[in-house]
Amino acid sequence: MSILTVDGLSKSYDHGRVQAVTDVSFELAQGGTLGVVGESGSGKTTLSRLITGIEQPDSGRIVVAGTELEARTSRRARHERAGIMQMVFQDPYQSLDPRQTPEEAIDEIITLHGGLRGAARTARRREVLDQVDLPERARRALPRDLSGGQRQRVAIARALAASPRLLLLDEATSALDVSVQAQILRLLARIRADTGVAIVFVSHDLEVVRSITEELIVMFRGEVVESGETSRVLRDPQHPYTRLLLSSVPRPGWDPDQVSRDRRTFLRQLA
Amino acid sequence: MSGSTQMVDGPVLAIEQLRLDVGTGETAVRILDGVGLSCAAGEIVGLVGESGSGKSMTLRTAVGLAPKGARLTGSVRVAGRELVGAGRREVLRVRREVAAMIFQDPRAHVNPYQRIGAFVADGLRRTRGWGRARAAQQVVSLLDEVGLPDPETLADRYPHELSGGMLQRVMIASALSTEPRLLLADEATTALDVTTQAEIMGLLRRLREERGLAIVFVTHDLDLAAASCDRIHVMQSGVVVEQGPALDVFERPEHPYTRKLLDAMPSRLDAEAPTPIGGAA
Ligand SMILES: Nc1ncnc2c1ncn2[C@@H]1O[C@H](COP(=O)(O)OP(=O)(O)OP(=O)(O)O)[C@@H](O)[C@H]1O
Ligand SMILES: Nc1ncnc2c1ncn2[C@@H]1O[C@H](COP(=O)(O)OP(=O)(O)OP(=O)(O)O)[C@@H](O)[C@H]1O
Ligand SMILES: [Mg+2]
Ligand SMILES: [Mg+2]
Repeated sequence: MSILTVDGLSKSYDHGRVQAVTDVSFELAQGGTLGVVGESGSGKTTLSRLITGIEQPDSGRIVVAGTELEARTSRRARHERAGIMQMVFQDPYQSLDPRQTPEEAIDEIITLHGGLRGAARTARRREVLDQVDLPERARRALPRDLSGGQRQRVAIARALAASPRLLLLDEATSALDVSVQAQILRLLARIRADTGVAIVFVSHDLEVVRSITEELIVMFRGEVVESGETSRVLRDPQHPYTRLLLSSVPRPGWDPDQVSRDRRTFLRQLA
Repeated sequence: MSGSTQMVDGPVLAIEQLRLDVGTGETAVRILDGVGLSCAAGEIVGLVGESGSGKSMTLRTAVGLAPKGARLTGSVRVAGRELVGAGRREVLRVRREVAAMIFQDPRAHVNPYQRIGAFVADGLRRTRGWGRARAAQQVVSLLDEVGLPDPETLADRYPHELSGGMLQRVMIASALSTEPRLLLADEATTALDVTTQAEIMGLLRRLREERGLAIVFVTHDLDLAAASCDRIHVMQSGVVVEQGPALDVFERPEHPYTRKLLDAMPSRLDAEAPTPIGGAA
């Protein structure tokens, strides 16, 4: 069964002058993983915000766990939706209340979505903060006194603590060193195996996307220009934009000026 | 006082034995413990390492932005001027004349009610005393240089109307606007796709060649660091545990933490990559 169906989704801003997302469709199976990559400004965050219901589409449908998202919803429906899906925002400040310590933020969400109290709550809180390896001292600090990667880990812990069925991660591991990142990726894989959570993973890191997702969509200027099995798309890209993207990855002998030239050639062919 | 920040011998940034403590009594913590780092004109120095190890904090001391109540000892010299124990005027002067920082969290460092154009123009108007019109013209060319499409329209937008990577490029444009001699880039390309990232790295390389810009580059992307930096410093728990020419550090790491990091690189992870759950298609 599919946990998420997106059908013909479009969204523009500024009276249609900015076409952020154009006619995007895909389906994500329960327990599946979808990578979203693409140009900066190509609509990845907008797409995630449409799926979570923070933004309303101009047209198109979003079906989550068999229920179509309605534009205007009751408090109760919003609460249910939050129990089904959680999003980790690209900017961790958007996921976190600036006045709440990590411990308070986790407590709040497990009370809300797990109904746990007292000792059970304390134990669960410790478990989720241990899972993301947040240092003891950071657990009682305010977000502004945390490092960038510590904030990001709190946002991930908070989303996981709600035990969602669908998790949207928007550049959620980009501020982590590769060792902590590897640990978070293993954690996600384990939680996925245990609970069958489906994951939408927006990232600029193609290696990470390769290691964690099965399906992939590639976005360029609001449109999906290529989609398919992640390993296939990254091994044998069909669209010129995907090829440009793959050839831009830093490697020994990498020449940024060559990438610039390739990009200009690509844009000229487009015009 | 010499009064000049122009001609100084030695590195543009020289940090020695830097210690930074926050909190008091029971809650006192040492955030930086004897950090040393230097960056000469025309050099790109990479700073990589553990999340929470003090990379951002190290950069912030070089623009006088350690957190309130932090106690600093050691030395941080920017273009020959000592910032540890320096007064506010000296710090502001360094920020105006020498050093600019690109912050890790762009959204936390912009005013949501200020238009992009006015934000980028701020530095020019403050340091050069330029009028609105002249600054606006320069802003458009700066926005264009960091690869932002349709810069005239973009200058009239507000931060919330920009994507993460677009705003990051605005921060880069703003930092470069005053033609600093030292650029402190804290995860300056993490929100960018690899093609746009290459454009920015190309721009930084040109500035270092043409103007001798000194760059300290904090990143978690070890491939990018290897491809772009002359020297690398590796940090863990407030300490620089290893440093050296980029190729040496990556090819012959000496410290166990450096080895641990290199082993965790996503490109080397495949062996233990999670096996996909069957039947999920
Ligand atoms: N509230 C808004 N008002 C006007 N334009 C907006 C708004 N939000 C997003 N946009 C525009 O929509 C487009 C897509 O933005 P989005 O944030 O979805 O990109 P993205 O793919 O997430 O980029 P990045 O990789 O840089 O985060 C951009 O051109 C952006 O300027
Ligand atoms: N304002 C502050 N007051 C007290 N402690 C702080 C403050 N800001 C950061 N810290 C702590 O100082 C340590 C170093 O933080 P810093 O932001 O320099 O780390 P970092 O190396 O940049 O990490 P990341 O890669 O996650 O961004 C962290 O443990 C953090 O919790
Ligand atoms: Mg985005
Ligand atoms: Mg940092």
